[in-house]
Amino acid sequence: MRQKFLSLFLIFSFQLFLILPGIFHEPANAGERRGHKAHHGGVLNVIGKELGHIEILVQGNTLEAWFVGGGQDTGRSVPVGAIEIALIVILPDKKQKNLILRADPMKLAGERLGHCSHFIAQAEWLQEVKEFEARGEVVFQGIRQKLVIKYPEGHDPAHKKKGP
Amino acid sequence: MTFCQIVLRSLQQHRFSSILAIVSMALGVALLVAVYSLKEQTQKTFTQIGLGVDAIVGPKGSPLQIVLNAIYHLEDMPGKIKWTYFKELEKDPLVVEAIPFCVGHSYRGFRVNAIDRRFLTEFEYLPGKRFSFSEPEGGKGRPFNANDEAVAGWVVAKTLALKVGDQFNPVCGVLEGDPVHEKDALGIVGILAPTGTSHDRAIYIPLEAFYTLAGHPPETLAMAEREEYREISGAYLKIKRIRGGALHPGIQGLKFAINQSDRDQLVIPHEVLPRLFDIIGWVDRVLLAIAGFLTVLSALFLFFALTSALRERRRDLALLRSLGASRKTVMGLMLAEAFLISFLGGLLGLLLGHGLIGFGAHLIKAETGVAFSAAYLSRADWFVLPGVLLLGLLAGLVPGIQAYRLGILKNLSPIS
Repeated sequence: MRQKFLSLFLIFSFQLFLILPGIFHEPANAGERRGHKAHHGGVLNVIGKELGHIEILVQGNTLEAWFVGGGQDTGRSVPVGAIEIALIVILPDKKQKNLILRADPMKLAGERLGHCSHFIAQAEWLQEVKEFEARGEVVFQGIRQKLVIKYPEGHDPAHKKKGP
Repeated sequence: MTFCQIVLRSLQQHRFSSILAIVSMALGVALLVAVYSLKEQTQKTFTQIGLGVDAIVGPKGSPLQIVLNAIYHLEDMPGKIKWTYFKELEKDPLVVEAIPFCVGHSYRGFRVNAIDRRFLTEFEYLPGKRFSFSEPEGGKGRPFNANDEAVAGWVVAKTLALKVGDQFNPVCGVLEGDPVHEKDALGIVGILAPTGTSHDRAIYIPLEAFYTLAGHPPETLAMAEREEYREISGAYLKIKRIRGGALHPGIQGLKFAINQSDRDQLVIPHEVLPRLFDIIGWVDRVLLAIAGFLTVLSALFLFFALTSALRERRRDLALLRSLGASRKTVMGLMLAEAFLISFLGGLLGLLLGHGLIGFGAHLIKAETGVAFSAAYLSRADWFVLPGVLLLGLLAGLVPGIQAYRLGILKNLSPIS
């Protein structure tokens, strides 16, 4: 009986010793998740076969778009030559709207019109919209590519097939 | 005799083992408290808003190196940025204040940083707090006005015994043996009041002085006259805030834009420093584990001390039982002893731990200029005493149960 108590006590103490640092342990910062990060807080939509992404962010009546790298290289901007990009926006009720993205060069990134990765569009109806799909075209890294935009879930068929 | 008197008398009788148990527990607790307090204070200091710098624009390179150099006056800056780029950035609507600086000089082990005069007159290192030269606060003199004037941080002035009116020749570099600017004697016109931050550990000279120091190559001298040639090491930025004092979310977009540049980057200290703590976090975890192990060992020692004391006191406890003390009372005596020893050990450990911090704080302040407080209450201070009491009670549990089960007849029978 005595030995049983002693053993129990030793086991408990050892567990306490293991737990003790953990009691005061602060979890490490989660940091950046592995995988594709949308650096502006928007949603990523793949261009071509992971050639690049278009990141879309809607705030109020403004839609902003950034052309960025493919794969995990979403922190690198990819300027395109277009000054305007026409999108056909398909709303949940199947109605269609036209939206023109206009180039807004990031001067601090050395961009200019005709060599620009940042685009902006404004429309009052954007304020009412919570989700939409959009289609368009752009010459991206020298190749004409179709744009498929799904907001707010993003568009990345390759990763959806692979699953979590 | 009352219950408490019996407990105290028992501790007196076994004072040697009781003191040993108290001291060993105190050592473990002291180490735990000291490590945890220093860890919390270090994290708080190196990530504090009181640095006053929301972001640093600097050259491409290691973000950590840029933060350590720009804010803590360690390491080297990995390059330079163009003055024209800085002026462009200054116009961004998110940038509230931009203070350019040049690093690369030193004096007797302390960095000499060339910086815009607004750093000394307008920059807030804590919300609402600017640098002061006021004598009641520990400062002296005034900010620099001319290129041959300098201002010393409080720690620098104290360590090197610098006074207003003293002159010094800066070293062109930060390593021993680097050349001295023999022809450039700079005069101390001000000493900053202590801030408790790394800003106390540098000497500040006018930004223009960096370019006009004799001994620099002609290209550096040309930067004084022609903005298109001028380069700086970097700039401190204050960014627009939103409701609640949080940084404007547009800072991520600004960071993205600047980071696309070939030679520049925006570094946000609050993003970089926590990563440093993640990397070196294992050090304090090991120290905490050692402290925890010490504390548990001391509880084991207490257990063995109580068990051997019980063996010696069997007759005394049997006598107590025969005089009317219940089983619960004798068990309570053992538990109370364990509780009291743990309490005293924990209390002594808390005092010792804070004393250790107080002692170490002087050395740390002398080396880094960063102030630690012995009076700081960390999370460990709230948990360690209840934890140690629990451990003590556990240590006393087995002897307590043994005392509970003590047979009167068996232990009162004659020995010889």
